[in-house]
Amino acid sequence: MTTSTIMEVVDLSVDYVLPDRTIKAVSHVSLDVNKGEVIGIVGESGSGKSTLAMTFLKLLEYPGKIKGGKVVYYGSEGKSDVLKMKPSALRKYRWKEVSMIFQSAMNSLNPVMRIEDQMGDVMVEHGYKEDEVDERIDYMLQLAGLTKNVRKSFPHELSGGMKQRVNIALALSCDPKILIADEATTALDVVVQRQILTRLLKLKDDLSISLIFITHDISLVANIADKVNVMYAGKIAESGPSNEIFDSPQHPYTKALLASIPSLEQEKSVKGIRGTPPDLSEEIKGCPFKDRCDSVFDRCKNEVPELKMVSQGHYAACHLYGR
Amino acid sequence: MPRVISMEGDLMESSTIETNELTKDFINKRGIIRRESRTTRALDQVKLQIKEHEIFGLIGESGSGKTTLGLALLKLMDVDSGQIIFNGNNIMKYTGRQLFGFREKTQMIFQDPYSSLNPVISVYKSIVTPLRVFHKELKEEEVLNKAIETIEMVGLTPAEQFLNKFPNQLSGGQRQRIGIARAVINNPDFIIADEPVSMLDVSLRADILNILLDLKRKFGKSMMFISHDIAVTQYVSDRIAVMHLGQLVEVAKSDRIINNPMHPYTKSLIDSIPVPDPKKKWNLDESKGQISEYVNEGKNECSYANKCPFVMDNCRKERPKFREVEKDHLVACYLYE
Repeated sequence: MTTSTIMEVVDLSVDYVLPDRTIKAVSHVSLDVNKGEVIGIVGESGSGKSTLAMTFLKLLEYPGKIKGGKVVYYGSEGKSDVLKMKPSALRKYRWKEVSMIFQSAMNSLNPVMRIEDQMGDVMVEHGYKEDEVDERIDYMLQLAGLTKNVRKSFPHELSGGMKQRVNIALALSCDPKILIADEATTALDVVVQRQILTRLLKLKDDLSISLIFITHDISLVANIADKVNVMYAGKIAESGPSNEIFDSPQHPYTKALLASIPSLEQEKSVKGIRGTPPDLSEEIKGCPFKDRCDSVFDRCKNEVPELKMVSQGHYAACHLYGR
Repeated sequence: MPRVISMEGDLMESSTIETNELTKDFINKRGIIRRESRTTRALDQVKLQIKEHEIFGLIGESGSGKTTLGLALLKLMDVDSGQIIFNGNNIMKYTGRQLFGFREKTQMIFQDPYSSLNPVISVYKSIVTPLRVFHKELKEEEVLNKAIETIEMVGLTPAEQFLNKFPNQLSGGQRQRIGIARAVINNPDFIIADEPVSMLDVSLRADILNILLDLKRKFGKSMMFISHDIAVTQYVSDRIAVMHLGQLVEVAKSDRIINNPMHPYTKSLIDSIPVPDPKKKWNLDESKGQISEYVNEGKNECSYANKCPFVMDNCRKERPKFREVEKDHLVACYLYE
């Protein structure tokens, strides 16, 4: 931990407890978020990235259960464990300190409320005065690249890209310190995606907030993130500065993932990763990637690899590295 | 009848399917007392030619009419005007037996492998139903052999293990392979793959793409590959067409579209693609303009005129015609006239 750390996740594990089985969605994940940094979290569906994001806001609901670990937030009033917060503290924490743009942001607006009413609600709840709110709505919409006319609209009158921008405006409306974007642009096409992401990155610089960017699109992360965490089967497989992850990926999973994406520039034939991710409701012996890995050896079958440092700030959970 | 622009100087005989001035309007009626109707032109004089043994990519943003074009080509949706010519025959007036014959020769691979397979029907039954419909004369054993052969063709081995499974026992990638097997079992001439990998995980996509490429290379199928993911489209396609609000704006060989895009819309599209290389961070220049929402209302103008940075008076007076700017590179833009 350094002085500029704003959030610290320590050894976090989350289970989904179902009547007949327990799914280990996230196991022993640790990561730091520094001020003004863009963190990318990549992984396939079912790798636990959204579950991880939910715990940052303590949004996890039944049957999700936190098995261990903590999420420490370093706010203006000292540090606090988000997972132990009381409802009253959480109300202040959500939106004001950490806010989130959801995966299904297209559908996360209330269809029977005008945009200005939805935005006003959030601000009033977090202590902005009525007369302030009016001006702030205009300001926020403008920040997100929308015009004032949107205020009076209902969500169904807006296109996907515009709704997504309203969500950004909403998420920023109480000046949060951290913004979590969970597959925020996945449903949009590339031109709109680019417009929204450039807007987000610009806001990040202007308002000096941290951005946690969750996606399955590893190319997208390369373009925007400072640090990347690659998740596989609920664990972090590799983490490090984005230059290093893309120039010299270490974990066989990261390598395979990069080899499976068609590139516009080089003529290469893409190769899929054989097999499928492991069933997280069963006990996994050894490395979770062992059945799909090309460099598998005896040790992988019995011993779970720990995250080990490969170079400064670059970690990989693989028996090939570190002793 | 205006002659179809030929891509390589040769005439119609080598094309599997071609369209001429295909137009389709969706009319949206609203209001009970004061009736208003709004027309959205989903296909605006679409003219294209897909050759034999070719994978033809179609890219464009959501709502640009890609899927409508796919449905129209297979006569799953009627169009308002224009022609579709399949293997040299005009299929617009096909009904009854003729249409039945056409159905055997064309197939579609759908986007969502989770909802396009019936959950209570086994893999075997799903796959052989199209075979039984078109080849009633086949014996049970022949049907079984054909099913096994097809399942192996899409890379599911040993095939016998999969025959009696149900969709819920398969992963997304396996389901999509079954979707492909079902489409190719009747040996069609022309297949439309509508976003076949967009619902799949990145690590599984590559294999599906390679199967589609094999269908072309080994079995000589023609295909239209619809996608909004340009990198994926470039990987499988020989030629790519770019669609914007119902109009085709550019058609060229895949690498030309990527390396030398000409239409301003294609340029902005190619520019927005994330590249897996952290050295190519985006510059945060937002001169590319705000999001603006337009629909093609069926006016005779360029569909991109409202957003185009190079817009001229001409663009709104008459829509630009497709011109062969360079060999095999067609662009509909006044900048190149």
